Amino acid sequence: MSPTTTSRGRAARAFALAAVLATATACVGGTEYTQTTFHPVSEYGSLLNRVFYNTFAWTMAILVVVLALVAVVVVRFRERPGRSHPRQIHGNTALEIAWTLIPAVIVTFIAVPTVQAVFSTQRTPVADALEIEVIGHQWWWEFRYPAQGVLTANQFHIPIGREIHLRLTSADVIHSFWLPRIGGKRDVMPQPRTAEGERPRANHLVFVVDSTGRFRGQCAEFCGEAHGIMALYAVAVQPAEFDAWVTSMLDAPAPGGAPPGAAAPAGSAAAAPAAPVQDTTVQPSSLEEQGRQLFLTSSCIACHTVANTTARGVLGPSLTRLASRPTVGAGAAPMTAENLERWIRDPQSLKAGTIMPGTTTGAGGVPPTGLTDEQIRAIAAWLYSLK
Amino acid sequence: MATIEAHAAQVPSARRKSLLWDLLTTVDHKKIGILYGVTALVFLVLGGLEALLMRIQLSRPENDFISADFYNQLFTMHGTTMVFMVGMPIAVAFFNFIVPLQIGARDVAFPRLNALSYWIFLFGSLFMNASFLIGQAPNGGWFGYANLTSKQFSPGLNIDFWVLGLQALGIASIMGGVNFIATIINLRAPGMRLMRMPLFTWMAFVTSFIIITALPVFAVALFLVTFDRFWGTLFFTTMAGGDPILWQHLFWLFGHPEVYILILPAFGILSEVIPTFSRKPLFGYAVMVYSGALIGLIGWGVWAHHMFATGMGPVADSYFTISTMIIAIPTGVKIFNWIATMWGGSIRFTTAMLFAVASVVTFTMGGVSGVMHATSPHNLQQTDTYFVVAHFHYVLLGGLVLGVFAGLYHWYPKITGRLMSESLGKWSFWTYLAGLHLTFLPMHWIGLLGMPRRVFTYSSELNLAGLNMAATAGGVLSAIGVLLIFINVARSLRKGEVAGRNPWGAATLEWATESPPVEHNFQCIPTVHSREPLWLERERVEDTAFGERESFHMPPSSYWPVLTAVGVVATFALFLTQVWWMPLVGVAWTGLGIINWAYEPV
Repeated sequence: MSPTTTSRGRAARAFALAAVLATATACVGGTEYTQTTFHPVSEYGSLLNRVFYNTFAWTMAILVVVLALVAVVVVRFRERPGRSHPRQIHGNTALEIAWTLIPAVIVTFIAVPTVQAVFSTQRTPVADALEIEVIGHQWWWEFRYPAQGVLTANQFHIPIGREIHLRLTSADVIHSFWLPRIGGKRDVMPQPRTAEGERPRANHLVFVVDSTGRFRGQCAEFCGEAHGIMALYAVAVQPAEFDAWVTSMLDAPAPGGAPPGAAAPAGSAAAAPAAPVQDTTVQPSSLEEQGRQLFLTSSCIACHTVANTTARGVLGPSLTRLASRPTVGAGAAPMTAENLERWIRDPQSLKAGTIMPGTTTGAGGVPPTGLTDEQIRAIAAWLYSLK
Repeated sequence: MATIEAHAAQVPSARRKSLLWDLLTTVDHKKIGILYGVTALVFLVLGGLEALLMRIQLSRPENDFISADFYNQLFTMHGTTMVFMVGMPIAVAFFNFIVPLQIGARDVAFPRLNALSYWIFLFGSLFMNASFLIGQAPNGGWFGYANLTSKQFSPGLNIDFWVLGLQALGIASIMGGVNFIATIINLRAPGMRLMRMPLFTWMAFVTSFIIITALPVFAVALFLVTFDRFWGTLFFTTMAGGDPILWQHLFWLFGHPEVYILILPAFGILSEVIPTFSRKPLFGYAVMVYSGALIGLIGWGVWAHHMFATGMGPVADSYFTISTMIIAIPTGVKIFNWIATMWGGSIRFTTAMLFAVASVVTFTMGGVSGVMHATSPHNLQQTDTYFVVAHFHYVLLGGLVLGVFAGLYHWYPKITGRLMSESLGKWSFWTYLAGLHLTFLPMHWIGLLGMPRRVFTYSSELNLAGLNMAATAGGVLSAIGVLLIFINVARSLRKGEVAGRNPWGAATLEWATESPPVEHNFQCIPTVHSREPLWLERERVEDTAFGERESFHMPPSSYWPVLTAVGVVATFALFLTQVWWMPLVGVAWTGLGIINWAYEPV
């Protein structure tokens, strides 16, 4: 019997396999690395990794062979006293053919599954995929759900178990949308001019997420000063929770009026709530109510949209349910009332280059807001209540 | 410096020039080679400082050591400096000094054009770096993607410095390429058929063809951006029918052959050093020639592997996946041939050989991550992350830098007449090698664990502080290694052991000259009948080379190249004035320089 077919041999093989897997797992770590590519939550990401591991195995084998040969050479063929002059060999055709053909064959083993994956990951999405438009800006992410009428920024929700189709474009320069736990990245390009009624050409990502959780990503194409602070979060939830989230993101229906889904997409010029709006967030205290009034009568509404208010600006990120997001300023600071105050007072101090104006310094051609500290406290308190 | 003074001392005329005048007017390929080399090493220090500042900033998450804007200038200039002011010039430094000697010539085909190339390189590089003095260094990345580089999104002077300076540097490179092609075709010693040329000269030949074909593509791309920024054209503006992707295609169509411009000279150096210190001829000479040429050729067909995330569609993605994997095959063949050269040899581990062997190993490590990049679906995880930074630093520092250091230790005795210290050499080698791996090995993990590149900081949420700190520590160690090399270079100029003509017992014609060579290189140009003349026909070759002086005419020095170079760079620099006729002053100056040059007696 060969050494590997005895029971001891089988145990040894199992142990070796376990040791390799344990080392490999230790090598790649777990999900404490919040943006790791090694623990995908979608079949898309898993397929990419399978392609990678196949390539990795073959290329590591080649590397090991090369390292071993070099190790042998530097030891065995060191000059030694008394060693005669080496044989002056000029080449060997058989060897040349061998070490050309063998790598060529290995390249085929790598290329075939790779090309298959290229095509399978770029197929058209299924008919009932959830479509989300992703628009990159300097330096934040806009998300629009055409069918649901939702507009949000920097954090977006998706249901697990359903195909997601992201349509990716940019409003300014080239960015790149990357959610490593879900899969590969795609650049977002500025939209070309299109014929009337035609949707602009876009890039696409198609995937199904199979686990709930909040997953962090960030822009991965250099896009200017604050490229390093352009984070995004995907929140994958059960389908029922997703539906509830959609409802919470829309204007509350007018009393006796249309259901939320029929509301005009937030941000369109014609949209305006049909009835006196109700703030459906936390029980308003007077500070938060002050903040809301200030927000709606300041320059804030020139750039920002907030559901259930008259604020319908589109130059900056939507602030609907702002405080449900983990960060202020797309990754500039953790979401706290104090950081919201800092952001409003002096956004450059948290994110140099941002086009949000502060209280004393303008930005990107927009004049300073001139808000007082008291006013900032109130506005921040109200924003922080939008959970 | 000692070498130039040694040269100057050989001039028999009564009137000796000052060192500065000598350098400004020299057309001697050896002095121009030293000028290129010293300048490139100075820029290596500058580019290295830029890197160290970046690594200090990244050593901790959410650090505020430097601002975002300054960081963006640093990473842009680090890349631009290392590629255009270090990598290419250091190769040209070796081409200049070594190729004429290796083919048994007295100089290059166009000595004054040679000087012009150097001075345009120097003035253009100084122009680009002057931008730091006004705090507006280029900040769009070394790759300068449109439409970030448009006037709308980059309103300052930063990108103007970038396009204008690189246009000038490109002209210098193209001139150099033409010069070396003409030299290698026309000025070989009798008997030196193409397939008898040393491998280093062959790689210089192939590289020069890539230079004269790839740099014009970059020139066109730079012109498009220049037109957009200065005269309101809309090549990259989508709302006007343009497309930023056009820039990427043009840039990478240049950019990928560019990396072969960077690596093939180093491959040539390895093909000289490894046989010398193994005491065996290069294994598979013809295959090494053909694989080098093939890499240069196929290198034109892989460019969009830098663009897998841009959404070109599955057919294009598949094509570039396959072509990129194919180019790995001739590259791998070279690795095996170097190992086979050493196999059965009697290896002397001089510092040069240590660098060469480490180069082979480190480059291979970089090569395998390159194959991983080629698998385009997973490339979408790898691209624009530190995994790519790891890959190209492994191939560039492993292949190019370690190869160049091998060449430095190998040819220093020929250039200066003295040997570098072997003990300091070994310290410098191990320090630099340890630093290289400590810096860039962790970056494979940093990238696949989620850190993108070109970011001035990163969130502590990523949990990558430890790995980043390790990379920073490696950077410091590498800097010490480079410092030790520089100390060795400087000290050995005066304290090094006198080298003699052929301290390594090498095989090729450059070793059949004095150390350093006399101005005219050979007393009488020998005829060769083999690839290893000093191993197979030494006595006859040396008798000729050192024997009775034949009659010949050496090109005289000239100040027209340096003056004309001022005009060329001024033409581009004067665009910054935004006054339409100012660049014409530079054109006029250049024209005067060329006319006087043409009528100068030679």
